[in-house]
Amino acid sequence: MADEPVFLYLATYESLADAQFDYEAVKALHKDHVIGTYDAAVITKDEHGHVHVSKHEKPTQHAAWTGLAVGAVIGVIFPPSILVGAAAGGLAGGLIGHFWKGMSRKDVMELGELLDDGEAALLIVGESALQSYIDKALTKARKRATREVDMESKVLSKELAEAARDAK
Amino acid sequence: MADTPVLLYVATYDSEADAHADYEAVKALHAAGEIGTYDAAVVTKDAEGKVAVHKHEKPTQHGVWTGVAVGAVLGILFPPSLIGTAIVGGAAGGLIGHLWKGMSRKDMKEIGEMLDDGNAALVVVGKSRLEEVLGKAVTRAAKISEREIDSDNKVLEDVVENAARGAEFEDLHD
Repeated sequence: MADEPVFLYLATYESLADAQFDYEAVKALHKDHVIGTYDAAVITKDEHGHVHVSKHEKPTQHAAWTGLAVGAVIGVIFPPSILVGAAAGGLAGGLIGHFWKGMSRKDVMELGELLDDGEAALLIVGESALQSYIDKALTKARKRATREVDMESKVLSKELAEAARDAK
Repeated sequence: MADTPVLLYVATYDSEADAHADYEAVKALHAAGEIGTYDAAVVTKDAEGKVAVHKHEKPTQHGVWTGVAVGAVLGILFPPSLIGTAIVGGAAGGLIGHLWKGMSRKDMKEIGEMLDDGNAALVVVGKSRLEEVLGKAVTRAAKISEREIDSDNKVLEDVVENAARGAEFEDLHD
């Protein structure tokens, strides 16, 4: 197992508005340095079954909240032809491989089933156990799940920093 | 559910040689008209975990055994970075999405775990139930599983034939 593993927190919603509401609450926690997160994004499906990752923020020096890490996780759970936007970006290619190696097929199945059921979802990729803070912040979620990814936080930081440099 | 679903048959092996030997036995059954198949191929992994589909046959008019359908199945079970170039061809892209919609996440997990465990595999995409007939040919496998894919046979047939036509065109221009 990784010494400092990466954590995933997934919440599903009955409406996009609810997911966006909780996204703003997580963003406030991140801004106040209450939680350390790499990425958070709202995920939606269109009428064709295509999966979209909403990018809200512009890439920064630290590549936080660009949608790339969430896109890579989604790239493990769905095949490329189902993905649109940030999730299908070429930058996420190597990152998908890292997440894939760090997740069990059971986790992929369970997170995938959760995403299949919800109308919208909020996925948070974080550097430490986020659960207690996020549980309080997410007030609209219908279902929630957390998973540990067997991937060093340092590796993810490095990959995201490289991706941010490339994006500039 | 599709009226005539597509069947996915997977056998895993301790050695690549065993997988190739069973592949030849399945090919003989196909040549004798005993089984209806779209595709069959041996799948192996290298030391880095990269997955490769071994294409044995040249494409024919009927698009038989081109490796495209088997490649599409692997495209569901592994991320793009672990899959060789033969699989990620344009023809396989749409087919991956089509077959993905017809498989449950439970099936993906179970077939994926089987492939993770074995050193080599024989994957057959068929038009009808294969397990009983293939029992005669597949004699060296460590594990065997058959799953139903809720996919329209006609769509798969068209995609595989188009892939074969594309490959024939490439052959002519080599």
